[in-house]
Amino acid sequence: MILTRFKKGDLFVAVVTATLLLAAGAAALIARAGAGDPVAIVIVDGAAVDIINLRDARAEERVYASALGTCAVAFEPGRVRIAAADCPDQVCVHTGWISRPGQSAVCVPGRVAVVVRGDRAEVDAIVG
Amino acid sequence: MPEGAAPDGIRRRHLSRAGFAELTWNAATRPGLFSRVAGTAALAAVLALFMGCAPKPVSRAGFFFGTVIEVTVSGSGSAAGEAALDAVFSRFEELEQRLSATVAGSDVDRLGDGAGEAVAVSDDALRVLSRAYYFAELTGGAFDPTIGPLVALWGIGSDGARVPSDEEITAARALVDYRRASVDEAAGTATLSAGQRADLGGIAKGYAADEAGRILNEAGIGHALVNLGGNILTLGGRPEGGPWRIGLQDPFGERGDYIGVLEITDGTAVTSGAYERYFEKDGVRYHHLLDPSTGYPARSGLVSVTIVAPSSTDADALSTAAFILGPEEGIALVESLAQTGAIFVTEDRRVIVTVNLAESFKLTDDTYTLQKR
Repeated sequence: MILTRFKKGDLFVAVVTATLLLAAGAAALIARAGAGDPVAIVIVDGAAVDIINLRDARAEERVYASALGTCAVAFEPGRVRIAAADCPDQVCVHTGWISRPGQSAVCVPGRVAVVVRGDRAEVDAIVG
Repeated sequence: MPEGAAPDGIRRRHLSRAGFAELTWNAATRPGLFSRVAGTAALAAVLALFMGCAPKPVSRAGFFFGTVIEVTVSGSGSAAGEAALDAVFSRFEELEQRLSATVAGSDVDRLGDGAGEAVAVSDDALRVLSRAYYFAELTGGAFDPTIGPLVALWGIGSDGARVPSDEEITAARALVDYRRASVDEAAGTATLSAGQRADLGGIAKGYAADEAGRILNEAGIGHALVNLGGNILTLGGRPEGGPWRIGLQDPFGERGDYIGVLEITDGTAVTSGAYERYFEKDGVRYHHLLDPSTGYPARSGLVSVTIVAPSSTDADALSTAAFILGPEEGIALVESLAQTGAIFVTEDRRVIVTVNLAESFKLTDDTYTLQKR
């Protein structure tokens, strides 16, 4: 992994910088977001790496690499999906667009997940 | 997805190679990669916004039993919540290592390798097997934990999924028979007949949910939502008051589309659906709910069955059995059991609800027809 090439000090700086950047980003997002807007959270290898207010999302594709695979996540205003993944089963890709709090698209083999959350969801979870 | 643990060798390999990292998005977390820390900080900020002044819930997710598991707890301090989540996720890992048919060296795997002799297994395996045989008996084999050879033959949910020949199905079906398998709880052993293989994919996730509920309860957690890839277990009601509101997956819609809302307090809901795991060949869809009596995916006129019951282990086994039995026999089965309710969705878009759920389930999609019992 790339991280092993960094010295410990570099990692510390990276951690602090990334934390501050993301926290600042989240703060900005919070300031702008109408309460209850659905938010897409991208989770890679157990960590939330991106938080995107779906109401404000632009049409774009972002690629996320985990230790086990790569996923391309497509955003559009109001919705998000896993557009491509190098996993064998493609369950995540077949999930299609998700937009409402409670929905998720999950690549289990690649350990990448996109979940949509929000505080005004009409339901707490989906059974099925 | 009761069969989630069953047929997916590919996922297992990926998971076991890299261990079982958990997703976590709460304030206090273990040190880790910078992305984890940064993501957690940002997410904590977002959650803080969402939650306002309410008692702060703590959430965590991980990949177990071939699916994503999310647990949210509140009604306790966040340190206590964290400790409880640690215990729950260690338990999930332990149970997967014991009960999965596709983890090499699991109790279920060793049981198949040692078929013909008594094999010493964990207390968890004894408990789940013994409950599984109880439901096999109760349902006349519609639910059968010795279905391993058929699950392996079809490979639904794995790369190797295919339509087997009639000869292969006949041969595999001959091995599926719970009456030739047994457990001896006093001796701590289980026994299969030669050639048999067990598969607890239709009950193990339910048991894991019950264990999560027990651990959280003992930790003094007042409110919890445990979601094992669509199998739901709740402790208490919503932290804000009132019952948890659970959407019922639309069997013909996208994931997350729901056709009605079920209100649950201190209970569990488990669905078996034809849409959960399947493959298509020559325009035919083959789903993962195999009928032990035919060796083929069950064709009972149902697209999903959801069971509401006090025990998630029982609800898991019953949802599979009721799906295979079909609407008439399935409803009769559910109505014969105390504190158990069900929602059946048929291929022709009827929604049949048992009387005891009439108050707690509301159909919200008018393209379906509600049929009360």
